[in-house]
Amino acid sequence: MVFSSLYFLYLFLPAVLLLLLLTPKPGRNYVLLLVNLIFYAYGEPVYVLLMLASIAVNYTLALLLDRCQRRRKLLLWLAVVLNLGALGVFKYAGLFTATLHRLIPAIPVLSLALPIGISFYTFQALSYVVDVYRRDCAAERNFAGFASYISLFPQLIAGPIVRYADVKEQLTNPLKGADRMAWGVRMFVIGLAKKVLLANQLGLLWTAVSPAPAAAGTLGAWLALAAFALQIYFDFSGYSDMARGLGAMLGFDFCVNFNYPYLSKSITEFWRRWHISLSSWFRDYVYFPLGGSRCGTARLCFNLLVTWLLTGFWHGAGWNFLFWGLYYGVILMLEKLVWGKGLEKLPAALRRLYTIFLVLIGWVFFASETFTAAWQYLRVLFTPCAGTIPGGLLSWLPLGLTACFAATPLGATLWGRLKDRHGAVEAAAVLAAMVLCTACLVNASYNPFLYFRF
Amino acid sequence: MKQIKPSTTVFFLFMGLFTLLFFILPKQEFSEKEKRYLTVFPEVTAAGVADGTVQSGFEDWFADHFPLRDLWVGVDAYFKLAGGRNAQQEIYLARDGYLIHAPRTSNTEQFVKNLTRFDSFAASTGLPATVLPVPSPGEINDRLLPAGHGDYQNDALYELAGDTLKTARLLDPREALRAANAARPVYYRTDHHLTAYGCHRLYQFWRESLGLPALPETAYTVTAYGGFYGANWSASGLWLTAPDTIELWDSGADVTVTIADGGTEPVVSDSLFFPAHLEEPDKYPVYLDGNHALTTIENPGAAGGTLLVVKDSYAHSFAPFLAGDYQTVYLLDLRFYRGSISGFAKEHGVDELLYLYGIDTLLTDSNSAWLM
Repeated sequence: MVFSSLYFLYLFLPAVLLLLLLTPKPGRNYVLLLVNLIFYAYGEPVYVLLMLASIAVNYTLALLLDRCQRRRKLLLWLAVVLNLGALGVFKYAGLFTATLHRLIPAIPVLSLALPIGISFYTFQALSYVVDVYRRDCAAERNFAGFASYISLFPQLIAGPIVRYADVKEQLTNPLKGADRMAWGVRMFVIGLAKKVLLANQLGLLWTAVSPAPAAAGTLGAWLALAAFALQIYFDFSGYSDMARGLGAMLGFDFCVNFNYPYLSKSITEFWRRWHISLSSWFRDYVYFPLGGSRCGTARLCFNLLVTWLLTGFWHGAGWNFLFWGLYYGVILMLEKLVWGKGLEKLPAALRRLYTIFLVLIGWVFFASETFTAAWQYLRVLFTPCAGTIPGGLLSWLPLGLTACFAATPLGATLWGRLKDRHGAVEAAAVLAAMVLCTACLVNASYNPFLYFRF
Repeated sequence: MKQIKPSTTVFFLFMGLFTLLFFILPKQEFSEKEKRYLTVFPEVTAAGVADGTVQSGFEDWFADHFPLRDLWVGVDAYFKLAGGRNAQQEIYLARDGYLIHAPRTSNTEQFVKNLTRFDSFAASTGLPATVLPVPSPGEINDRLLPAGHGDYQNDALYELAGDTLKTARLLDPREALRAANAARPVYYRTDHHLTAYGCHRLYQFWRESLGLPALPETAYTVTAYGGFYGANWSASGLWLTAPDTIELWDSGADVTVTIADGGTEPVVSDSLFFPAHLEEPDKYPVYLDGNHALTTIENPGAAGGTLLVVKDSYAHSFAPFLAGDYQTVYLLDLRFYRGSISGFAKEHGVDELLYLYGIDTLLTDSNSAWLM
């Protein structure tokens, strides 16, 4: 189930909110769990069993870790192996066997469909078990409460990756209040508009250009790449906003996941602003345990490269993602050891340009399924050639400029000044966004059949 | 609890209202504008749920029956237009209230395949044959198109057609239509077809190319009907576009029209026009009742023999002009006709072949395979 769909907006969500409103407090977690399972089973009617198994295993291991004084390390490793094992089998086995199959044709290719959200809920479960092991938090005894945390539908399939300690209290005592509700509505509607009105539309330019970038020319290829950068940002941050908004409607407070990353003045800063819950997960559960940066240069380089190879690979089962991670690992290493200090002395505009440039080049590897395709795209970017932009440059300008504006905090700042005076303006904006998003979603299903015959 | 904010109220009222409307409004079975039956609720089976087909069927059903669907489509179409995304849509809102289809993805492989089949069929029958592709409306009305529109590539397509055809003769009516268009529109504004006037000019061009006389404009009695909303209007969602006028040009010839589809009783009429369709928004089927497998027009008083037209819907408004010159005109639509076409030509004593298609159809349609 995706949030940006008519059946979610006009059937699932109203039903869930009404149901939770009518449920007395003691039954809340059971109803929430049921709702979460329906949400997940709708998209993954079979793999819902995998998620339930993951919940049961992690629940049990955490309880054992809580009680035992000995063999705790063994239990922790068991949790790591089981969680990453499931991720390995269901997410990466296809890639590994396909690669091996190319070298040794006798090896069969294992192709399993990727369970939606497995990367998110596995990481969430792992963070919980590790936190219990570290005695940073106590193990949850209430199974429904723990299962609700792992399967919490607002953030189940696209994050943010929530730590148990952050929502533990809210599982028993949901946050309430008219302001919180209004904030949730606003976040949800902003996220929906980002996804439907910006990301989906910008994606059309990238889809049109990326298969044959040379036809669009160098300018067209740069614009399409910028469109992709904006698309993925609005898609992902829009989804996070919707998750936070829905979370607030249900009484949860999820962390900020994106903080205007395209305004960053270095790649180091970019990763503090982009998919924050993921980078901080890797920081807390991989980079710091490896020794972080408080060690020798060689060890630091090793730690950075391992963390970033894994971060890249987390994004998808493809060698391009591994490379994309390595690309950032190397840049971050260089910023830490070589030009980070020098960079800080440059004017802000130049530093932003430097960051955007490197991020854009990174997206080429991220978005291209093969290295050949990435290489071809890079060639068009750096060898000037003429071409035609699909639809013409002018027709993309209003959308492009709106998107660029929306990627900065300017809108939020202006809004902050305005809304103190006009509560009705916010209501009108919510209405307008709902109308336009609904119209866009309905139009996508409009499918005229010209050669009709009775 | 503090007072609920207006934005919260608006959000939940809006959501609740359309959820409620979805359940209380009667469900339509057929979408007039899309010309298709709307999705029905899927049959729920365990296997269907497991493989996700029930869920996707349910999503289609929900979207198809969403309250005030046409209104939403219109809102989105105008919103995109306002944001400058005219040239990105499938249908361009062009100047003078024209709705013009964007260029089709150029599938020249299919195009060449179609023409090669036309050619070898003509060669195998030994009949004189002409191929008359109607140019893309955007090609003739290019000065009306928005900036940044796609390229229709008609130059390349006509050239490719000429290179491909060895037996059949290619006629390129672009110049004639352009000249005619300067006086009166040869295409509808809201539809991709030629107007009756455009068809008459195409007919004149065709007859002249063959060195044969054509009936002049003055030989027809013209009746006009307003309120014609064509296929491009339906596809665009730009509901505020003014409708077209559709004209019936009647030469007064004494004709018998027989419409046959596989498996149903043939329908016989003494008119080329089917006025019942003038009651509908899309009035184009007034010509020969729209798409059928085989339509026969007989006019015993005419001078010519038997003409077989292999065609798409562009021929429907064109055929009434042929009726005056041939004793028998067969209109055969390869999308629907199933049977041996060479056998048909022999059996019915066909003297002449005409392939009449919109050039865009030749880029996408693969039904020419039925000629073989």
